[in-house]
Amino acid sequence: MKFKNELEEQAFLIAKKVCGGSAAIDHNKTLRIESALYPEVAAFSGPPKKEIDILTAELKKDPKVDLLVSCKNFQDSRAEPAHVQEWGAVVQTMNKYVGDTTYLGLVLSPSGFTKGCEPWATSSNVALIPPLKGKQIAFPYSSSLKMFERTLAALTRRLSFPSQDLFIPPGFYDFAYRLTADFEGYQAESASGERYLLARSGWRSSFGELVATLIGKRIAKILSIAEFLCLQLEDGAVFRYYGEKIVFGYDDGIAPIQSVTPTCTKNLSFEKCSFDLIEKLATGQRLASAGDFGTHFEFGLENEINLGFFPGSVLHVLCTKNPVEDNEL
Amino acid sequence: MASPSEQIIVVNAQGERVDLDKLMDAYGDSDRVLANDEVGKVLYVGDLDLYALSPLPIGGFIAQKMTELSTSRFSTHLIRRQIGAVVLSVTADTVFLVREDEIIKKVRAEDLRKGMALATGEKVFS
Repeated sequence: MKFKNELEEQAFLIAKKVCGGSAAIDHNKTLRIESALYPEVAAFSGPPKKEIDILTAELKKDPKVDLLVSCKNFQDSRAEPAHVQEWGAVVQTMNKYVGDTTYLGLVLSPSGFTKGCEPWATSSNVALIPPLKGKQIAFPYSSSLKMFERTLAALTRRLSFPSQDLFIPPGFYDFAYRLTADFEGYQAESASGERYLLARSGWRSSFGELVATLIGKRIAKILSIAEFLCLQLEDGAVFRYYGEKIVFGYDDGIAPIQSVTPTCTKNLSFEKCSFDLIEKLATGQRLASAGDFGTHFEFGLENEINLGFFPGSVLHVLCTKNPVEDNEL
Repeated sequence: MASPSEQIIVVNAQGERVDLDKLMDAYGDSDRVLANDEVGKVLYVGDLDLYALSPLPIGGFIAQKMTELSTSRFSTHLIRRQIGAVVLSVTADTVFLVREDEIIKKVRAEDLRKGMALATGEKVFS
């Protein structure tokens, strides 16, 4: 199989992964129509025919639904309204002249789209990846491919439910927008590094999700392993502090065994204390609050003790009751 | 699209408010899951008779039938805007349609300014 550019090849591999062997590429495929006098086929120049390069993914067999994908691999410019208009005309023509298959259209342009593309896309029900969000946001090339995969996979599942609404403009455009719009927040979080990761999937996560997942759970065990400090919580939840990185969520099957004795400190003076003291203060307590200070991480426990995690396998406890001098541990 | 698409209020056919977290928990592992990845989760809810309520400038809400319900694991930050008589909490990337002379243009919530008028006629107060 020959590909015109890298984008087309990658899009094809994604379509094949999601839809199996039904994905196909056609180069210089000729579409013929009887008359080019209508605005929607303005892109069909000269004799009423159009040569297109097309990536097809068969989404459903009965009734047959195909997705026609146009890959625009521009380096320094965005896709323009003419490109979307052209694809809208192609999809419309295919729907008009092929009886047993319904077609949906999608334009994939990692460099983005100019603002004028949206009216053409909504009126002709062509999905745009990456999405237009009222501001020219540049998504990385890799994100556009992830969006394409997400949309394609979701669409194949969506078609197993009643889906007439997708074929009425701008149903499919809106569907793809809903599936890709949230990449903006994901992108912003990714740019700030990989501080939080989910335990089972390895997905990037956030402080907010850590709080939503762990707060309110009781500490079952505190462990110190060479690479990280670990809290095992009720319901199989875990918190692992690596210093730069924090892994949390539900157990991924790793059953760490205490292998090193952590350095343990207490009070504002950071005086040395025993691991037994920390275990005694923290085990069985619920996590009540959390704070990420960049340099270290702290949980507030229900018994008004703060349990801190510092780089270099250092555990720290502090009583938060006032006055400070009367409540030293 | 002039109304915020996020921070939605969802009700069932009887008009009772639906707890989205409970809904996600109830159907989070079912065939309804269209996407579940680093970005978030999307559920098909077209047959559950759920409606998203969007506020109207004259008070009250308009109910729109929902086909999908999505939750983002990385939503952008929240901001407060008074539009018409309603004060909304919306994510910064929520898109509003704003009328400028004869032109309708898209403006993100974070770029809405006092005095702008939405395509639906509501005025932005703050």
